[in-house]
Amino acid sequence: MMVNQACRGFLLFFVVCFTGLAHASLNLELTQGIDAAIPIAIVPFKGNDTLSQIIQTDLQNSGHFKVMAKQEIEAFPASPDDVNFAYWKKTGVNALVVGKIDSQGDNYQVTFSILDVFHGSDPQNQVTNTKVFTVKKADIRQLAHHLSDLVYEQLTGEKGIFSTRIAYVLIEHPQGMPTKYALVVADVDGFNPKPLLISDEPIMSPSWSPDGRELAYVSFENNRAEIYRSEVASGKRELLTSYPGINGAPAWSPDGQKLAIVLSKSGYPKIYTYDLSTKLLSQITQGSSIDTEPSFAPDGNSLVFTSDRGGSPQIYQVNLSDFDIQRLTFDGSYNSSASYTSDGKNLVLLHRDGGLFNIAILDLGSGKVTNLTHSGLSESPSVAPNGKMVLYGSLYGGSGILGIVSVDGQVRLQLPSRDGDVQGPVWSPYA
Amino acid sequence: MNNRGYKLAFFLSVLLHVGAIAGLFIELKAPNDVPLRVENKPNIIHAVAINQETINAEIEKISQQKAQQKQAQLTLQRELAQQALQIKQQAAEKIKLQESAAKLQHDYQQKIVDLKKQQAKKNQLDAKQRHTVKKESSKQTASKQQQKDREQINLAKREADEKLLQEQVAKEQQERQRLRGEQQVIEKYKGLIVKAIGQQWLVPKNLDKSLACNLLVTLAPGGSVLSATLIKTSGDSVLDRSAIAAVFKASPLPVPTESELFDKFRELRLTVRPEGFLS
Amino acid sequence: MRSNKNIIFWGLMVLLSVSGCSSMLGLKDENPDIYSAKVAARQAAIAQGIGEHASFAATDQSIRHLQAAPSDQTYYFDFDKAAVKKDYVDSIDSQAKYLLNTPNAQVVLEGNTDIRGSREYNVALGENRAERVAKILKLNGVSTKQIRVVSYGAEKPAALGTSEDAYRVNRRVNLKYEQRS
Repeated sequence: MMVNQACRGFLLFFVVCFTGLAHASLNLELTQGIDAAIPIAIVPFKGNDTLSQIIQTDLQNSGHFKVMAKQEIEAFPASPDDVNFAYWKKTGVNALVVGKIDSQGDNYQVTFSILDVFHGSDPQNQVTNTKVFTVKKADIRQLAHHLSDLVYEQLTGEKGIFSTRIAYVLIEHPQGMPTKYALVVADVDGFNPKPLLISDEPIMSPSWSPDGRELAYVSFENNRAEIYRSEVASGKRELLTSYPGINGAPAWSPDGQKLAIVLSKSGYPKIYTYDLSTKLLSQITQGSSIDTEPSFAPDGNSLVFTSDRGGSPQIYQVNLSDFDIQRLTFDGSYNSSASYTSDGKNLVLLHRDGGLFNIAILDLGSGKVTNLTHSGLSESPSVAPNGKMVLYGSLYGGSGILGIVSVDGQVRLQLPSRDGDVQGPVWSPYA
Repeated sequence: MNNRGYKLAFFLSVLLHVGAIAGLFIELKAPNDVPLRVENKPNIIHAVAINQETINAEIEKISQQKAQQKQAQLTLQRELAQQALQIKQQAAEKIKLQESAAKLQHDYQQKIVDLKKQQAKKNQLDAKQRHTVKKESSKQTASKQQQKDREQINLAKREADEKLLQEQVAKEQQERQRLRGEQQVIEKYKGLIVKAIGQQWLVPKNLDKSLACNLLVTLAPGGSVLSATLIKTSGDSVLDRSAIAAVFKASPLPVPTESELFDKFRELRLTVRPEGFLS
Repeated sequence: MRSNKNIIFWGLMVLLSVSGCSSMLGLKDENPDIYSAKVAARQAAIAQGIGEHASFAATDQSIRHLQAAPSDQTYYFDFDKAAVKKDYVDSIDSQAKYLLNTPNAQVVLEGNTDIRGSREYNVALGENRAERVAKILKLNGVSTKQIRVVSYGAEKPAALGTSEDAYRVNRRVNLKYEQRS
């Protein structure tokens, strides 16, 4: 009896202890969130709000951020110390960018910070990324894009593309004068266009080197198709090929050592590789079909190209070691202009469906083709280095314009139009 | 002739009375033995030469016999009568052996006195005035009663213990049920909290889905988030920060209002592992 | 009843005028397809006026193609086709005869396409067309030294725009004498 009681007492004691222990903290598991744009506020920088405008446009256009409208901002901190977190929490933004600009002669000194609004009272959690830059006044836009990259990377974990560039061909029809062609390099937002080459004859198919310092392209300046390379910074150029017939569609290899090109000197347009140091040619495809538009896979071991060997233009892949060829597109009677996304899992291409030419993405795993544009007047798709956006040409209002669409189709942008027609755009690699 | 008859009667009566009284004093002599040992008179010396063991044994027997004599009143009387006769005989013998057995007798009587005292005490404890037999029987009843009482006390104790045990069992069952009900409430609020945080959690894109981070979240009554600390990083700081931001953005979290239940929610360990999207 | 009829009548009037307005305001249509198609149609009309090359006499598909030689020619092709039309053969033969007789004469055959589709593929298509014309010259005995083939694909359109007319005039091979004697 006594023993019995003692046992019971002991048991109760343990039970109480146990529940007491478990009661110390509850365990929860969170496995589902939402796929939404990150709300952020870019407070106009003290001293000059050009920078904040550019950052705002960059981030908003990326589709990953919901930027608070400037007119809704009611507090204007210039540094982390000025930030009233209570106010910003109420606005619902997750992050805040603040900064100030001081003019120093020919330069600007820019101080800027990225803050997590919901950092809690634990100072260890507070992420403040304060940086100071000194830049030439002429480079202020470039700095702004760099700041956009910093914000983008910190908050999404992905590399930003705001400091990348685009190249394209501009065609002007001045009244009463002959047509003028120019190869132009500009910021990714279309600002700061600078001509690399101006010609009376067509320019086509620019292609960026992997280091982003050169462009290869086709020029008809000598009344024939020829392939050149030009150094972007200096303008220095070199003639690479001038064979009889077509010299076209240069595409740089990922290691920067060679170009894949199209030559018809054999009688039919075929794919070749051209070694940039040895200048040696290597024929990759054979036969009497039209083979054109080669593009390297990210690992450099194969090419995709356009060929009508099956009766109509379709995308094929050729292995560069054994020259084995596989057809990749079976959807639609016309597929061309293909290039890989950086993860090697998709092709972005030009796809015709019922007479409409649209940019589409082909999932190489499933074979599914999804249209990214719908106007039916698209051409020349070029994938961004992050694999997420596609730059392309289109006809709008009768003029050639450039557009950007995200691979998930959610972001659609149009670049500012120029005087003239813009076509054949290509996205540079990361700076 | 009549005088002689009266004298005899009178003498006999006195003797009887003396004998009876004496019988009281020497009743300790094993009465059973006496009739048997009428022949074995020399054995009485054994009976008289009482040693410690025998006394203890006799004490025990007294207790037992008291029980028996309750029912055998007449038998006892008979025995007493017999004893009276035997006492007469023995008295005569005793006188013979008096000097040799004086000391022993004295001891014996001393013990008798002690025992008598005990008995007197016992008599005092017993029920009121009855016959000698009744006194004895009442003594027996009393001691039996004591025994019974002891037994009853033990029984009562046992019953009380049983009752206590039952009460405890019932209490525990109640407790368990209460805990179960409580557990359901806790699970419900856990689900609400996870959902509230999930609706604020902007999952970074292109995440390695095998990553997970652990947060320690402390809450004030009402659900306000006091702190959300990273106790184990996922290895991806963007994921970690997205989780912390979500916890704060979801503040105040839904918590029970009842303070005892809320106490369980003061501290939460949240594992964040991206597996899918809510919308 | 009369008032109901009035309401209906005026309602219709309002509707009609509004729809009329909106068709006028079609320029503000958000849909770029419709917008560009409309503008393109208008532009084609405009382009007709200030076309870089000679007027749309070039579209003249009359059988009586110039057989005089030497004379620059333009031969047109059907969509996605490189086959030389029978009508042109006599004209090509005439040029061939001239070239045979004038060893120093040089012609360039410029292949072109309409603007639809891949630019580089169009360069190849244009070359195909020009080569077909060259083949006929060569079948006539003309030396390859006198023939230069170049394809501009869609890069040198004869007409801008997205109308079928514009497409048709762009699908061509220009035969030009770079040297006549």
